[in-house]
Order: sequence, then structure tokens, then C-alpha cells
Amino acid sequence: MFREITLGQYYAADSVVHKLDPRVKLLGTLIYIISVLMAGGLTGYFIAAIAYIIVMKISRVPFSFALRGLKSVFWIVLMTFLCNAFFYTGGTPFIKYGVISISISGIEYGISMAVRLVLLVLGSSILTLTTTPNELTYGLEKAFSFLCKVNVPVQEIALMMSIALRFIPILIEETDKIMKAQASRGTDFETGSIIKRVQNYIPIIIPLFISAFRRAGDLALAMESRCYRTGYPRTKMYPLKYNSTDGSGYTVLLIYLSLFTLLKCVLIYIGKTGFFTM
Amino acid sequence: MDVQLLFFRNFGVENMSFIRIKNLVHQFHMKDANGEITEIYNAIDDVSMQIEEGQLIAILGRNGSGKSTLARHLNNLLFPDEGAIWIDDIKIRQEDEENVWNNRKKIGMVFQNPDNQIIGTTVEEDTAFGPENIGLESERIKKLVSDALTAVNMEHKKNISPNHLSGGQKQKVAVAGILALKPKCIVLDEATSMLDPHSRKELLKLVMELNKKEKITIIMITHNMEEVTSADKIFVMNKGKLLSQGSSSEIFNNSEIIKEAGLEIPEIMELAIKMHNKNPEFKTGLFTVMEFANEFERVYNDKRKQE
Repeated sequence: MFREITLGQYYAADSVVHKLDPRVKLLGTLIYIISVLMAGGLTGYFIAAIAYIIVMKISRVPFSFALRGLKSVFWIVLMTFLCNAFFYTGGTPFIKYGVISISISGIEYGISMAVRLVLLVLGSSILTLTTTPNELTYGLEKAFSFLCKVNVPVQEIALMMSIALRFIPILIEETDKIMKAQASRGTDFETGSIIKRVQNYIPIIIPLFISAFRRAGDLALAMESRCYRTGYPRTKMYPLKYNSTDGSGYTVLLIYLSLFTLLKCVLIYIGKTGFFTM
Repeated sequence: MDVQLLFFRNFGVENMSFIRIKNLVHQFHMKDANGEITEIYNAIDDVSMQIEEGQLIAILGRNGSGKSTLARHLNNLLFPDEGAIWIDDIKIRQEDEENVWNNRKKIGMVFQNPDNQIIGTTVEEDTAFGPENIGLESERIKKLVSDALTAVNMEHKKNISPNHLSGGQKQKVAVAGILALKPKCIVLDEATSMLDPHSRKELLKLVMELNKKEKITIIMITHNMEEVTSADKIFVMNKGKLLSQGSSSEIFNNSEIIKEAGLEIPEIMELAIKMHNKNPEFKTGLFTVMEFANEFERVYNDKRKQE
């Protein structure tokens, strides 16, 4: 059953967004993050949300699938809102009790922060939803290849990442096997105090590490025997190549960023920034 | 090229082989917790052998006989402490990186554990790993990968993650990864020992085919005698030494050698030897049930005629 595990949250579909070069999507994510951080009010968030919805529509990933990613950050969003709402000291509080001070500007700030977080999570999830972990690794390798000039082993790091991805399901399966083996010898993972339970995990972690190191040794031999050597440039069966869609992608991204920046500058200039604008 | 070799070449003193091993010694150093060497033992002890191109070779031996260490020498993953190895008449030297690299292209290796030798996240990507390492162009890699996958009959699975394959299929992918480098020789280091009987048969069939059709030298390293009945030449190793070498019938009919090496004769062969002891007319050196049945029928019919 662990063989079926899907890594990341890639959603396979045939869309323009899926076919974009991973480098375009990486820059897109960066630009989206910048725009969300630049926006400080509801109008700005609204524009960012519209942009998100448009890209999601084009990518043909169902919203329900994307929204699942929010589940894991729900508590963080809630805590962010509550902390800002209860402990914000900037505004005039209408309730003040000890360290707790609730003010309109505090609540506004809390909402603003929460919305910003939600948009950041949703926006960056487009990248992982439409790009396979492999493409992403290769995209990162290419995007950071300039670091080779300052002796950063970019290619090696990317290979490490993709090998790690390949071994995650194998190690999960192995953990399962060891857990069953230890459970059959009487290890109890369910009851007892937290300290006791953590202690019970030691007989799983040690064999898991030993086997992982053994696997790593075997894999290194296998790689060497297949002509792998560090420090030599490797080629790719499917090298990343930009096409016209990628060009349009970059253009759209630049237009989005310029317009957003322009709007923010104008609002600052006329002094209309705030919770309801940007 | 060393002087000795030039001498051989010019005067034809010795016939050159694809792989020539001379007085090979490989030492393992046992260390205690402080890193002090407590014991040195010879994992390979004065082994010499010659392997010709296109042969199907078996190296038999039980655990710890040094057969896997020997295999790693062929792939230049280990280097001799004493003695020397020549591949295509070129002596292996650790310092000679280009040659070491070339040899790894020439001689591929399939390891025991299918999971620990697949690097790529899809079948196709893994097959391309070798050609990518040697810096070929993308069009050439595509051709090599597609040919290699067709040769092992895994073309239809090229976009699948190796995690979804059976052990036998993974070993086939490992073979494809080697084939994509256009090797002269494939070493199977107990490659079938973690497979079920069906996958084992399929893998063996595949390597036999590669040997016959593509003339790729196959070196099978195993302790399972049944797998190597069709080998052109068998080397038997024990405790790091080369115990015996010869054709499969020569080795298999020499039960003393087999016993000394700690190997188990296939049941059908043992039965044939027992039959031979009762009736000298009954031939030994039968490897399959079918051969045994035919021989039994022949002897039985002869006897009936005599009566």
C-alpha cells in the first residue's frame, strides 16, 4: 500500500500551466509572493485572489483539491489572527485587560495577516500542484545553475533531492516492516506515557538508520558502476528548453508585477493606503 | 601499456583475452572501535583467470568465498592489492581515471538488491542515468534508452515509477540501464537471489538471450548451481582461492570439488549420480528433469531390449 503513496500534491492534468517550464513557474511563485506581501489591504488581496483563481481555472486543477492544502495551515492561520487581534498594541483598545488589548486596528491587522497567509499557501501550491517533484528539482537545478560559478555543487544537490524523493516510499515501507517486526516482539506503540512511547520508537529508528546507510552504500556503488562521478557535467535526456508559451508566461508575470507595483505606488502617493485599499 | 604486455604482443607468448586476471590478491582490513587494524585477511587470494569475449561465465562459491569481491574488481569498484587485471589488454590502474571510466562503460554490473540500484524516479529516467553520466546528447540518449528498454521488454513501462515494479522487473530495468551504455560484458552479482522463481527464470532467460544474440559476455556470480548449467565455463571459488575451473559438465561431475566449495548439487544431478553408481550405463551431468527423463527412458529401453 505504501507503494501507492503520491509525493507532494501533484495533480495530473493536461493544461498550459502544467506544460510551462518549471523555471517560469518558480519565478511566478516568487512574483506572487512578492505581490501578496506588497499588498496590505483588502483590494490588493482581492486582486491577488482573482489572479489565483484565473491561473487555477487555466490549470484545470479542481479548487477542492487545492483547498485541501489549507487544512494543514488552519491552526497557524487561526493563531495568527488571534495573536494579532488580542495583543496588537498600535490602536486604541476598546477592551483592555492585562496584556490583552482588543482594538479595531488590531482586528483589521489580524484579518489582513490571516488572508495574506492563506493567499501565500494557495498561491505557492499552484507550483506543486502542476509540477512533478522531478520537474521541480530539475527546474531548481537550472534556475540556480549560476551558483556553479561560485563552486556550489548545484547538480549534485539536485541529484540528492531526486534520490531522496525516490527513497521516501521505500523507507516508509521499511519503517512499516520494522514496526510490525518490533510489535510482534511485544513493543507497544499505543499505550503508556509520552516518554515511554517515544522510548518505544528507538528500536525502530536504529534499524531504520542502519538499513538506510546500507542502502546508501549499495546505491553509491551502483551509481559509480554506471559511470557516475562528481564534478563532471552530466547531460539530460529531456533538457529544459523554453518555447513560445514560456515567453508569454514571463510576459504575463511581468505585466502583473508592474501593474501591482504601480497601483501600490499610486495609492501611496495619494495617501490612500489602508485596510480597505492596499 | 606495460612492457610485459608489449613483449607478449610482439612475440605472441600469450594469447590475449578479454579479461585477464593474474595472481590477484585483495585484502580486507578488520578494524576495532579505535580504528586499529586487528586482522588482515585475503578476501581474494592469488586468483588467476581468463575470460574470452562472448562467453557465458559462472563464478560459483558460497558466502564469503570472495566471488562478489572479484566481481567488484572487474567493474573497477575495487583495485588489486597485489597482482593485476587486464581488460582488453589494458592494465587497470586506479590512477588512470579515464581507463577506469571506460571499463565501467564496457563492463556493467547488476547487484543483488533491486531497490538499491535504481536511481531514477521513472523507468526511463533510470535507464538514462548511465548515458547522462557520460555526457551524451539528448537525441542519442533517447535512442539508447528506447533500444535498451525494448531489449529487456520494458518499453511499455517507461513512465512508471520503479516503486510500482516487481523485483524481477526492477532487475530488468537495472539490466536496461547497463545496456544503454552499450557494454561488452554484464556481471550479475547474485542478481537473482532476491527474486521469486518465476522472475529468476525470466531474468536468466533475458541474459542468455543477450549472450546469444548480442554476443555480450555474461559473468554470473552465484551459489545456485542450477542457474549456471548452460555456462561455457565455470570457476569455483572457496575461501578467496580459485578451487577449480572447467566446463559445466567437468565441474558438475566432480562432486568432491562441489563438496569442498560448500555448494549444493541440483537434486536432479544428484539423483543422476546415484543412478550412475547403481548402473554405470546411466549418464551423469544431467541438468534438467527433461534430460533425466530422456536418459531414464533410454537406459530402460536398452535394458528391455537386452532382456
